[in-house]
Amino acid sequence: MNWSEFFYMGGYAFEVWTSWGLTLLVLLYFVIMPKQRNAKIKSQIQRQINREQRDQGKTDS
Amino acid sequence: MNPITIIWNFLSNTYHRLGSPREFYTISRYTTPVFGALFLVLSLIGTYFGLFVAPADYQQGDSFRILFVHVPVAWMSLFVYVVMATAGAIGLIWRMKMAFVVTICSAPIGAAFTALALMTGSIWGKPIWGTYWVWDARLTSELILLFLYFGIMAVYYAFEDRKTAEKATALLSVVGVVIVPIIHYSVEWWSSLHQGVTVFAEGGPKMPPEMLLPLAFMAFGFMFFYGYALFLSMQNKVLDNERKSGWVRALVNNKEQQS
Amino acid sequence: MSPSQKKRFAIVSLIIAGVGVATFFSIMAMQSSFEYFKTPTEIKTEGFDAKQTYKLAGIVRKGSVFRLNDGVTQRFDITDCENDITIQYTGILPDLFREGQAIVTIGKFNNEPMLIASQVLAKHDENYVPNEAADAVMLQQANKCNDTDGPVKY
Repeated sequence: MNWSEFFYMGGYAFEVWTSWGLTLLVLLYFVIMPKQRNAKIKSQIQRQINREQRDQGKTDS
Repeated sequence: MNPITIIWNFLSNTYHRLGSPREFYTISRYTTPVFGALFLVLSLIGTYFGLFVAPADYQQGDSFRILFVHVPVAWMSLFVYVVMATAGAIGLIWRMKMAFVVTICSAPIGAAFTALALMTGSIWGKPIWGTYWVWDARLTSELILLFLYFGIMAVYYAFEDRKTAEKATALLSVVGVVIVPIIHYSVEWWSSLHQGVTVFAEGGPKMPPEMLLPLAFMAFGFMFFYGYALFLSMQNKVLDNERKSGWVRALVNNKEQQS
Repeated sequence: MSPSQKKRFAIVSLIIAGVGVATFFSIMAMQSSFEYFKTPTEIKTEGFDAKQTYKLAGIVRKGSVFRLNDGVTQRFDITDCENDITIQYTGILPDLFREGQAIVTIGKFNNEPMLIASQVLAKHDENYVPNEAADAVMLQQANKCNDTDGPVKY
C-alpha cells in the first residue's frame, strides 16, 4: 500500500481531501452540538426546579 | 389474525406512540444509538471500498472519489426535504405536534446536506469542468433549495407564538416540495453542464458494481446519520417544548439525583 | 377525514400547485441569459453578430488542437458533426479537455469567423467507467460523429 500515492489521489489530493474533510466536519457538528445542547437544556430545567423548590420551602415556613 | 394485520397493527401502534412527545422520547433512547451504529458501520464500509478499492474513472481519475460524498449528500438534501415536507403536511392536516417537531428539526440538517452538495460539487467542478460555478438548471435549483431551507428556519424563529410558527414553517416546507422533482429532472429537462442521471437511469445504472456498491453503502449510511442527528435534535426540542410537564421534570430531576 | 381536514388538504394542494407553476416559469425565464446559445451549424447558416456574446457547444475535432507561438493561447475546432467552428482560448483548459470531448465555450466572434473564447468548459457524460475498460469507451467516443443519430446534442 503506497500511502503517499494514496494521499496524492492522482493529482486531485486537494479536491478529494477537502470534500471529504468538509463532510466529516459537518457530520461531527451535528453530533456534538445537540449533545451539548441536551446537557444545557437539562441543567436549565434543573435550575428551574431547584428555584421552585426553594420558593416552595420559603412559603411553607 | 393474519401476519399482515399484525404488521399493520404494529406499524400503526408505533406511529401513534411516536405522536406523543413522552413516548417518542422513550423510544428515541433506544433507536438513536442504533441509528448511530448503523451509520458508522455502513459509512466505514463505504469509505473503505470507495477510497481504497474502487477503480479510478477513466475520465476523471481519482477525483471521482468525491462522488462517494457528493452524491450521498446531494441525495440526502432531497430526501430530508421530502421527509420534512411530509411531516409538515401530516402536522397541518392531522394536527400532530410531533410532526411539526420533525419538520423544524430536519431543516438545519437538510440545509447542511445541501450546502455540502454545493461545496463538494464546486470543488470537484473546478478541475474537471473548468469552473467553480455555472448557472445551469441543476446547480441553480439546488441553490434555491438551500435558500428554501434557510427560509423555513427563518419563518420558524420569526413568530413569537409557537403554534403559529409551527404551522407557518410546515406550510412553507409543503409548498416548497415542488423543487425536489425539479432538481432531479433538471438535467433531463434543460441543457446543463452537470451531466445526466447515472444511477437512476432507464436501462439501469451507468456505473459498474465496484463503484455502485460503495456508493450504496455511503447513501444508506448517511440516511441513518440523518435519523441519528434528527432524533438527537428532536429530543432537545421535546424537552424544550414540554419543560413544564411532569414527566420532563421527573426525568431531569431523577437524573440529577442519580448522578 | 373530517370536512375541515378535507378543506385544509385541498388548500394545501392548491398552494403546492400554484407555487409549482410559478417556480417552473421563473426557472424557464432564467434560462434565457445574455448569451445566445448556438450550435456550429446555426452559426454557419445564420451568421453572427460581432458585438454579441455566444455560447457554443460541440466536440473537439481530432487533430485540430494546436498551441500558438505565445505558449499560452490554443486553437481548436469544435464540431456538431455537420459543421466546425474554430475556437481560440488563452488560459488553462480544464483537465477533461481533449480530442473527442464535448465542450461548452463562451466568447465573441472575430471576422474569420473564429470565436475568441473567454471561457471553455468540459462537459462529461453520466457514464462512469473504470480505467481497464477505458479503451473500448475511448474508441466509441472518437467515432461519435459517425453515429447515425445526427448532430451532437448538448
